Amino acid sequence: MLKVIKLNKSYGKERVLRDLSFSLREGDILSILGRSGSGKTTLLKILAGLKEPDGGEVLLRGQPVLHLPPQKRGMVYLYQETLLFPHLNVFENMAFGLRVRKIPGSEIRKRTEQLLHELGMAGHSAKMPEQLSGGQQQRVAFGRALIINPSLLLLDEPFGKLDSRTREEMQELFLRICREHRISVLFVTHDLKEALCMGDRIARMEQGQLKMYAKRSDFIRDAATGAKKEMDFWTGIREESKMKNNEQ
Amino acid sequence: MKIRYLHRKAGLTLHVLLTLLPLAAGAVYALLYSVGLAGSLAAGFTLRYWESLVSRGTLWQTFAYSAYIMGVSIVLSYASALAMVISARGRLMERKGSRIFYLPLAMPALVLAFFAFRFLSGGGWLASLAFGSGLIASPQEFPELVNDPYGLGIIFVHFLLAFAFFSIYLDRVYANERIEEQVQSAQLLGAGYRQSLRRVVWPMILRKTWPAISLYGLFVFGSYEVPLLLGRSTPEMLSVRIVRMLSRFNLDDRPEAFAIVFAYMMLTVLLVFLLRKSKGGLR
Amino acid sequence: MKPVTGKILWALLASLFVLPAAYLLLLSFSASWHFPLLFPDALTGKWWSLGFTSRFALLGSMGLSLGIAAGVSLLSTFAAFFSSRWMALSRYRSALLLSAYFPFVLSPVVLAAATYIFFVRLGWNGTVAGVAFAHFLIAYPYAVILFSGYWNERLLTMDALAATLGAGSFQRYRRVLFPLSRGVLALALFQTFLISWFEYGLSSYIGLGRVPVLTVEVYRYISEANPHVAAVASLLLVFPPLLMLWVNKRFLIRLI
Repeated sequence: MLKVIKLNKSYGKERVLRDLSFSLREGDILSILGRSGSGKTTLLKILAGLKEPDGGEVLLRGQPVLHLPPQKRGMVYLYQETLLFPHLNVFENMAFGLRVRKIPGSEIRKRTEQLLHELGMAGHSAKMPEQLSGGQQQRVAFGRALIINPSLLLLDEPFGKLDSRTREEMQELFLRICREHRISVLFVTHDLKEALCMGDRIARMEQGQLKMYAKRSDFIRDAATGAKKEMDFWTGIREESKMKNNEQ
Repeated sequence: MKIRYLHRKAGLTLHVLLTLLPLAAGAVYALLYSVGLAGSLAAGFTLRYWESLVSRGTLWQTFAYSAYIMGVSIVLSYASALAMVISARGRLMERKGSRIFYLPLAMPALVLAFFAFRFLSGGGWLASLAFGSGLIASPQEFPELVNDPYGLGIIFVHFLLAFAFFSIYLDRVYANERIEEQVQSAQLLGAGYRQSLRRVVWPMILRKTWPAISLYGLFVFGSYEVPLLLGRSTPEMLSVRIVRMLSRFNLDDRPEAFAIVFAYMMLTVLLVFLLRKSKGGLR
Repeated sequence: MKPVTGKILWALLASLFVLPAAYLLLLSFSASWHFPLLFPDALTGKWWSLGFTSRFALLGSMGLSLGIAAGVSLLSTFAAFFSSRWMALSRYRSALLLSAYFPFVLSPVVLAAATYIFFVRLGWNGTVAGVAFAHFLIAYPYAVILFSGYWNERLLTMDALAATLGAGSFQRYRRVLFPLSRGVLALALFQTFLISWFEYGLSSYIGLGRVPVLTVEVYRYISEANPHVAAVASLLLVFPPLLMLWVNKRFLIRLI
């Protein structure tokens, strides 16, 4: 449903994206792994319409979208920071996308309340953003994006600032809801484990191009991803403790 | 397609037109006028107006006098405000009644100048007080404080305004830059109080505030209504001199006035550029 | 500093700051007050009532000043709000900002002198519109400079996020940028109001004395040696900023 063809982008002399191409199926979650500065964020911003590419084409359900302003693309970009609107309460933050579409009030209420419930935020609708915990803020930010039924969600290390427990909770919740709503997602992260457990498919950003892995095993086998090294590390520790146990 | 910002190009063009065009047009006109190429009396290119300004010393005198008023007012007000703020350890504005520091800022310079005239002149309130207490026998004996050659009245008004402003401003800087904490850590490292003032407080505050000092200085330099009411005709501050020369009927005065206008504008442009080039200057 | 010295100094300062307003208030109510009287010989309300008669028409002047200042403040604040946002996203940001500094630091009356010929050509000299436009020429760059530090990365990102959520340019102003910027907008509105309200040199030069804004009137009464009415007019001039001081003292801290 998403087709990216030969995207190029340079900042001055530095080529950030070089003929980058890939495609995504409806309802798929693609994890994109890459170091900081590898162009992940640039890619997402171009897709969202916040940056202009130097060349290339992006098709969404067969239609070119590069000429459309961000508000007409239906792709929501979520940042590491939740960026909830500080002057709006939880309910209004969630309902934002519906309000700007001039949807009738009764329907806004129905849809927002349902989603609040789904996200486990039903009791918090009147609270202001600063009264919420990090995880709760993330839920609202997520709900704010979901409510407009985006054609594509673009997530830029969304859980990067959460503590590890909240992070796992959010990952689960996120996966469950994306599956239920059949939302297509590009998920950028630099965390190996997160990339593996969130994505139906995994890709790695390198030198301005996206390397897609057909299967997880391919990804793990590729030395450049670091997955192999990581596994060896843990295996090594296990072996070590086994040996120690045997000696005793 | 980038995110669309309505009328962005047109808006920025308008911004340039509103800020630079009047200035540039004014400067060009002033220059042409000063060399005899514009204005109703233009009689072809000549440098005689500039020459006469320079040879009579009017140009230097006007600039030097404005610079003198600026320097004295700023140094006095800044130093006293800084002393107040430091002795209050940056909590000047937390004191009861500190709102009165804002009072002078609610006064237009014109009104303060009017007050200063009534207060400081030979027939003014201070003179009455001196008379009442037997210090002087007639208004003529009262020292010249307004329309005086040293610009004391002008300095008084600028001091009042700038002192109030710098007190509030420096107090905020002291708190925002956590200078008190810096003083403490300097003292933990073995600096005495005086040393920490000299090595920490003073450099930190100066570095943070000198763009504001320079801008404020430029306002004083070009100030008009205060010297208009409290100054005398020689020496005279820049804005007053320009306006007075432009309103006279002497044929040579207008081109010479425009020469001063042009020189002043170029000086301002230069100073703004210097301010921006320097570290920590204008954003 | 010793507490006693500190208190004395404080009292001295307090009187210095309060003195001008107190003195003018007394002057405006005094029948006559001249050397060597320390206090007026008698109090009267006649200058105040006289000030509002047709001969002095201070009320009309106040209305005119109020109108010009309100118009200038609204126009310059909103124009600067938009242009500073565009500037924040521009490659030429610092050059554009620099261009705002020139009219900001130049003496307004010299700006008036240098551009007067253009006002004449446009037929704007001696007119209310001309004076208002001249005020706008100095209030607008001030507001631009005021806003320049306001558009930080976070705010711009929030704006972009609102766009990806489906809000168009107009919607983003209405639902995100204006509500978030209420504080800074109020600040700019008040301060640009004051710039226009306080301006004398520019008003008298461009207005040719034919546009009787309050500052021009104050100067006129001073030069006509009518100190009592000048005091009345001065107090009218001080009243709105005092009101602001009472509402929010932050509004008064500005560089002009």
